[in-house]
Amino acid sequence: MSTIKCDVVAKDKVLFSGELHSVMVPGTEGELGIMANHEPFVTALHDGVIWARTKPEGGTTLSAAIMGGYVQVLGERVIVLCDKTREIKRINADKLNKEVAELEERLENLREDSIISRSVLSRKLRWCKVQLAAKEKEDQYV
Amino acid sequence: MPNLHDIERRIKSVESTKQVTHTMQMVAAAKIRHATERCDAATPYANAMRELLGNIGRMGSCSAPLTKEHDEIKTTLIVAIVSDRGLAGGFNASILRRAEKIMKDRKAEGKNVAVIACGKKAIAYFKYRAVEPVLAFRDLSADPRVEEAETMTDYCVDHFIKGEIDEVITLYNHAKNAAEQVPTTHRILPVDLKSFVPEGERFQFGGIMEADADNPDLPGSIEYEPGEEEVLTQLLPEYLSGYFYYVLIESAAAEQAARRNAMKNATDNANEMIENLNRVYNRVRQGAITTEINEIVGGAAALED
Repeated sequence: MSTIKCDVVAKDKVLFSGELHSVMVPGTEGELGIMANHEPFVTALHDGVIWARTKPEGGTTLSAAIMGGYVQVLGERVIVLCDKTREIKRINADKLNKEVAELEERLENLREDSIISRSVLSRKLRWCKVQLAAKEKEDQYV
Repeated sequence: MPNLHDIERRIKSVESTKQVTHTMQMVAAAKIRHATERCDAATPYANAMRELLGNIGRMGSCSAPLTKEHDEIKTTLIVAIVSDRGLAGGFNASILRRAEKIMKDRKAEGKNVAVIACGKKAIAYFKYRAVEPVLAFRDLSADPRVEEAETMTDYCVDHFIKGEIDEVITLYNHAKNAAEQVPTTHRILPVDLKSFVPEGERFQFGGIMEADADNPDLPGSIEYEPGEEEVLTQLLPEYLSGYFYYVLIESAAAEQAARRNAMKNATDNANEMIENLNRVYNRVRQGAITTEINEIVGGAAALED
């Protein structure tokens, strides 16, 4: 069974690095599965869930929410770059719901001229929502 | 001849300064480890991004807006990355002086210059010279966040595409190793994709894209989905914010290293000074004793006669 060498890296950490059978990523043109001997390929990813297996059936080793990602496939080597990523099992929905409410309120009350805080807050909000959406669909990725 | 009491006081004062600098040295040394670990954590992303862009760079020319030189360079944006605090030797000054030199050169050519200041020292420096930074970040030099880098990216990309700025130059301290910081100037926008292709590569720009039998690591042609330009238009801002983040944390690591060196020198100097002062102190004390003995001997001799 041929495998792919896959790295999933965010800006500040390496989420996963190792051999996989296949990896599913949310491509801009739709969900996309990558296995060994895929053609050389680069694409941007939607916010969503990345999901990887070590075996053809079962054996999910990784399922994580990602935001702002890219994937490059070259021969046996797959690089997934992203802004933010977190494994679904580590996502805490209650905490996130609170955070979303708080962020929305802060965005609401923000002064017009604070460009920096606005873009920071709206990114945070987007990331919270991506995580929540991923958590909701957790059962699909087992 | 200085009197004994004065020298004693000076010794005490130098000793307490030494205590301060020594403590700062230890604190900086402890922080270096944290900062270096963070750099190490971000390195895979930077490497992966370089690898990815290198593969794209092999495709030769590309028409994504962020890679395009503007016809005329009217406005330069300088991103000066320094620290919030001083006491780190030439760490801040070397960057700020370079920034000012670039500003002067550009202004002499009749061009506009805008500044993004990271670190309180940069903000103060530019404000004093009546330059209002377009973006200013404070209290973040020790712990830069990804959000900061993203804000910078948003600003640069937005204004570059609108044609309000024509090039972006970053100035920062590269942490070469724990002992050495190299002030680095990097022209980051427009992005030069060819600079990502490893040096000495045999592939020629202009489209020779067959896989090479001698070198299986080099790829054949790459498919882009939806298209090369669309992918690059999204990917390049991503690269920029990754780049800015990496530069910020590298500068943070360099700052701690610079501070440790500066404080180590200060401590060494204080030690040397204490040694010299002790020597003077002893000499003066001995001198006083000798004078007294001479006086006694002289007085006794006078009585004998």
